[in-house]
Amino acid sequence: MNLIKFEDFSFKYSGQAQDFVLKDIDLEIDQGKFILLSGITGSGKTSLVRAMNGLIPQFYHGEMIGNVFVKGKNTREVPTSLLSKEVGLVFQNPENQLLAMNVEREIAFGPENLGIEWNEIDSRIKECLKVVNIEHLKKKAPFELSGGEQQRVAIASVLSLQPELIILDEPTSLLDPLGAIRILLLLKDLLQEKKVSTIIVIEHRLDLVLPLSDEIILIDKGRIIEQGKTHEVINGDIFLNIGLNIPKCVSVFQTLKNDKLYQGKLPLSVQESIEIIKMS
Amino acid sequence: MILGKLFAQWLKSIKGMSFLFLLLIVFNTLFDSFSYSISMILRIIIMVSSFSMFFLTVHPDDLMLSLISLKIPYNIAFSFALSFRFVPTIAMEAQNIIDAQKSRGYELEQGGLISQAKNLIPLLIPLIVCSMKRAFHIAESLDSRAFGSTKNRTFYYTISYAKKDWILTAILIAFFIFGIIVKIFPNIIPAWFYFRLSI
Amino acid sequence: MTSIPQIVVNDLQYHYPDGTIALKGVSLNIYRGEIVGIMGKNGAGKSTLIKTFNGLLKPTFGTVYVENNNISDTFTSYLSKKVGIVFQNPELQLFANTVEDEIKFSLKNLNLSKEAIDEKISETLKIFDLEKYRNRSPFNLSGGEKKRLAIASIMCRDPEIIVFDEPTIGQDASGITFIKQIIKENATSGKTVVIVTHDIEFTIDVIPRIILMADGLVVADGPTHKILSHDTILEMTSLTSPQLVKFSKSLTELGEKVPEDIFLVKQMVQYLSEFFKNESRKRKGGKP
Repeated sequence: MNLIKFEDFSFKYSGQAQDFVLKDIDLEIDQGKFILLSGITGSGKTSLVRAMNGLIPQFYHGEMIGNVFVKGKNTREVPTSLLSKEVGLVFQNPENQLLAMNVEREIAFGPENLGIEWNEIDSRIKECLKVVNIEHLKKKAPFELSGGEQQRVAIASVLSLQPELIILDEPTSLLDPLGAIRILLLLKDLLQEKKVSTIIVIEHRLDLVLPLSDEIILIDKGRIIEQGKTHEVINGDIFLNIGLNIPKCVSVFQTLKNDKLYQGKLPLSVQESIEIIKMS
Repeated sequence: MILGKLFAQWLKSIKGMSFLFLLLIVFNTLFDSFSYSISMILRIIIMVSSFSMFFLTVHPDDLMLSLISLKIPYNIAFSFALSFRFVPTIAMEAQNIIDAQKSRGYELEQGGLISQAKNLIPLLIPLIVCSMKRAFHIAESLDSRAFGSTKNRTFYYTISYAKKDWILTAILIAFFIFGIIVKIFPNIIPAWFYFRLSI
Repeated sequence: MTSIPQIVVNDLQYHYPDGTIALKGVSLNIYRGEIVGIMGKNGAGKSTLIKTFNGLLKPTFGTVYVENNNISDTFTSYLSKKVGIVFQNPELQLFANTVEDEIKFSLKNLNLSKEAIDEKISETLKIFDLEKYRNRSPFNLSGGEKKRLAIASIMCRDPEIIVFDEPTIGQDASGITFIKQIIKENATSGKTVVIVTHDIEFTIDVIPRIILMADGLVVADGPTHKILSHDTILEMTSLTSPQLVKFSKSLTELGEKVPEDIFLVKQMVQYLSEFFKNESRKRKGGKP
């Protein structure tokens, strides 16, 4: 069974004159992958993510065609608050997600809502603190933490619901470069240690996230225009032409390719670029 | 140390009111007596202090838990606590809006009431828009964290009435009753207790 | 002319009312026509520093001079004509009914005639490609368009110095290209541009000089590509090297003779073109 399955899905927000923000989406997302969801601003990335845990159509109303299934559960029928056991959502700004007086209570919030008993909550808190590496911060108030630490807390507070899939909507855009790398590496670790089975991330800094991604989904004007393995997608025609921030190494080798000086695959990172030079 | 910090904050809020106190002294001394003005000020200080001490020492989360222990429904107690949680955030946002508008030449002009109210529009509209957006984001995040999924919510932290809390409550009730008795039978206070300053 | 700096910050300290010390003694000079980047961790004091440039914050100790005005005794209403700050989030300032009114509001306190204001509005809308939205509500614009309008509402006031706070957050390639172009045009017309940013790839492309801050102090000040290849400084300020700086460093370690200042896509393409041509020549020549 697919983790998430979109069947001929379209959506239009009510009260807005605009066209459908998502159109004719057929998408299957499977276990065990680090997936990058990419597209320019206004392409429908955030709306797509909202449809993955039922925020669309339950919280954001509108005209919806087709169905979305999360582990076989129809998002029209199962409330978002229960889908949270399967799909965890982390947003851009930690300020709007952290509500409690200290980190420990923040992580407890989700399981408390599910009515989980004390002992289980206690062990989940300990586990989550360890997994995102913030054990030393458990009694701190969220506003005392740095942006990167806050985002770790936000991730932990979703992990405590033990979802199979975590989706992050631009989790690093307010962080400094080193903080951003650390969060993305943490996500990769979560996947490798099998704390979650799939990660979907919307991320503008392609230079940081491309080397970590197994798969890319490209979205443009509300349509999925490409889905595939990272190397295949960046070597395809679409990736370079929809207005994304192309990493410099990719641009360099693409230009060389156009000038017929280079024929191989485009590199995802500095390391791969160096490999190319070594080989030639 | 924490006490010291709290005291400093309390002192600041009292300091901020010093102008009001001055007014009270001047007017009350003019129309009544100096001692009356002093008692008035003491009353205000006690009122302000108790409020500020309450909010400086009680975190909204604990307030929420105590409301729940008073059998107030979770949803109501939670939204009450949540609104306190975002007061500093929104205050910061308001400051950023003022800064942004000042940077494009905005001035808080002196003028009539209407022109001043009109002058607030460039501040109020962004504040409302940003706060509404924030409210949506918070709601999204709550929904995504199982908020309201079951009726039988559990609590990782709980607060309960300990022995010392009962003692304190008893003392406070005693004081309260004593106050009422004094009000009704002022004669039980010995005469030497009364002292009056007169100017 | 260039010998006198336009902004002179001398031993600037700023203490917030709650006791936090945001700036602990910052000194720097910024000259007319420069493009200067200010980088560093969140909380290093960057935002506090730029807010002193137009007097939103006044120094606790030390001085800030902007075009020979001591900001400690100059009103923001006056300084804001010289220094325009474009804040990160355009939604903090958009409020008017139409795009046109939004610009008009910025021109209100400049003592311009009605004709001059109308002319300025038309000119600004044209530069920022917002003419077609003239009568639309600012709230119905896309993220990129809102950003353009926010920049327009500062630039229409013709400040001598323009400060951008994180201009690239949330912008896609076309938005970033537009911002790069605006910055370059301003600098060539003699205006000074100061940019607070985390975006190293953007920085290496348009900003020749950067000032790095950490913990309320300036820790480095100099040519961008040199500073952004200095590992210890980068670690201290939570930054990383731009891809091509890293790339040419690795190439040098491989034993290639890479000229020191290769950090733009154009330069790297040129260098590698030569490299690949040489390689294929070698291969052809090597064959018996």
